[in-house]
Amino acid sequence: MSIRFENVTKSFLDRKVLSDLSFSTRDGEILYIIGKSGVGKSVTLKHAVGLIKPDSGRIFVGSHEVTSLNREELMPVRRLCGMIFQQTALFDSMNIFDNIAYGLRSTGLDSDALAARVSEVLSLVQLDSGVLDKLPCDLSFGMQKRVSLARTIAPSPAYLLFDEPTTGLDPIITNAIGSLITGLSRQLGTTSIVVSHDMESALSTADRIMLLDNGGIAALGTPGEIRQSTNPLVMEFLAEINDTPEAGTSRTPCIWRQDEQSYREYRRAIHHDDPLDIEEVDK
Amino acid sequence: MKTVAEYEKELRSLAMPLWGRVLHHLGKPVAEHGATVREFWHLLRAVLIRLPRRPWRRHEIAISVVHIGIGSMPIITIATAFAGLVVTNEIAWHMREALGTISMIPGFTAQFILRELGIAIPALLLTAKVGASITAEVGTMKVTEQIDALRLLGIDPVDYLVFPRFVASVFATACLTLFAVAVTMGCAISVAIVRYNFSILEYLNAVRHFIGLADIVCALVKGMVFGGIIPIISCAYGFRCKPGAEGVGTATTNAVVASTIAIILLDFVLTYLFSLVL
Repeated sequence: MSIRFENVTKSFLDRKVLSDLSFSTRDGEILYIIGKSGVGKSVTLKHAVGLIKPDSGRIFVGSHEVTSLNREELMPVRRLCGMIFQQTALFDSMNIFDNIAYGLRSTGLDSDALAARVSEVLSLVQLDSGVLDKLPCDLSFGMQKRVSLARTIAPSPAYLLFDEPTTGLDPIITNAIGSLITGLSRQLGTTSIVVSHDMESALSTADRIMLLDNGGIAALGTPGEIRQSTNPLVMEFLAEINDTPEAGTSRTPCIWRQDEQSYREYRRAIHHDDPLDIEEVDK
Repeated sequence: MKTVAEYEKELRSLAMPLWGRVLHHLGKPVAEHGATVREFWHLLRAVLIRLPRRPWRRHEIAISVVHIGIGSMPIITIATAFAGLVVTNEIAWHMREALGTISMIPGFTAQFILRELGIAIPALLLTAKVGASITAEVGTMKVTEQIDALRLLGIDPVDYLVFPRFVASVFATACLTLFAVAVTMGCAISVAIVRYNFSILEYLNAVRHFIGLADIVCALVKGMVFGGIIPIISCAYGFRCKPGAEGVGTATTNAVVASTIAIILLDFVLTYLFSLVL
């Protein structure tokens, strides 16, 4: 049960986004696809479920060749895949219950079984049943992400595809969503592909990490192998997460700024210099 | 080191000829509208193929009927009522000028209302009200990836978004056409009675000689055709909506313009065809 890309090429107008891309997921693994903005991470993900057709190459989801299927034939393959979209893509005219239940209605479940399944997946994403009557716009973005996750896992897909699951979330919710991705993937035994530009989450969550650049694979390996990589792009991403708090760009130091003692210890351990004044850093 | 003049000369030599620039500027919008026209035909075909199949999505259709039909009644009532008042006065003035009599007011007014005014006004109002809202809704769903989410849940967006709106719009527009004709006629009769001293029986008797069942059938057919193309054109523009607020706005504007033109063109074609048959 894997997703396999074979020499996939895709261009938009005169811009080549994917160039002879070939890779394959392993059964039950969490594969992170990392890369800068616009390198084709989301495009890769959408190819897997037939939302975008490649110019050339073949894509397999399990034993199904997605690239050779028409609209009707794609439907059962798409039901095997659950996808979390960058903007949550919740149906804004439906309440949370209907959002989660919508994909289940075609499975023929009766109303009791439907309600039970909705409650079950809601608890899996750590939301209480009080949200069921609310509309998506009544929830925070983090909660919407969780509902989106619940809707996706409700029909028990074999593959989970995450498109920037932590974009726009604060560090605490990001960590929580990261834990949810790992927990659910392990618990449900699904093969997961996570598209992200968050190397820190990838290193802590992924079984393997694939770095995309110029339409192809710049690096592919386990988090340990990625940490050891001498690839300049990998080093650039790793440098981002090892960034000093003064830069104000990395997520970890932002948390540490809240705790002066931790921050000073961080400086001593990593930079072997005198602790900086927090006030000065914040300026 | 090149001088500014040399750069300008080089740029001029690289620049496209005038006809090339004209084609370049015309080509892109033509290609985009061409793609939307293809989307329109695809949606129309998909909906017509879907028509005899079950389930009929009664719940979604009922919601759309309420939205399109009941929701549009106030605006249609106001617009057609005033149209009825105006048309009687206009026809009376022209008849008095041309024929020197106003005895034909009921017949001419009734024919004009049943063949054109009572059909075109609701259709154009629905284009602005319902068509715009459908494009904005579908466009926003496209931009926020809700349509992709539907596909991944194994739900055909045509089945979920286009089909219920198409059925509801055809049904609601046919009903609204009859309603608009009734309101317009009512107001036309009121003016004829109050201003031109017709009695209601005299008016209705005169109308009976000018219009028949065929006129009512033609009005219904026109209303149903207009009701059918509004959601299809609106959804086609919604499905091809470009990202962002501007994309949704542009798609909505284009959908309203295209639907309006389509209704006027179809009105001409249908009127011509009916004139051959009747």
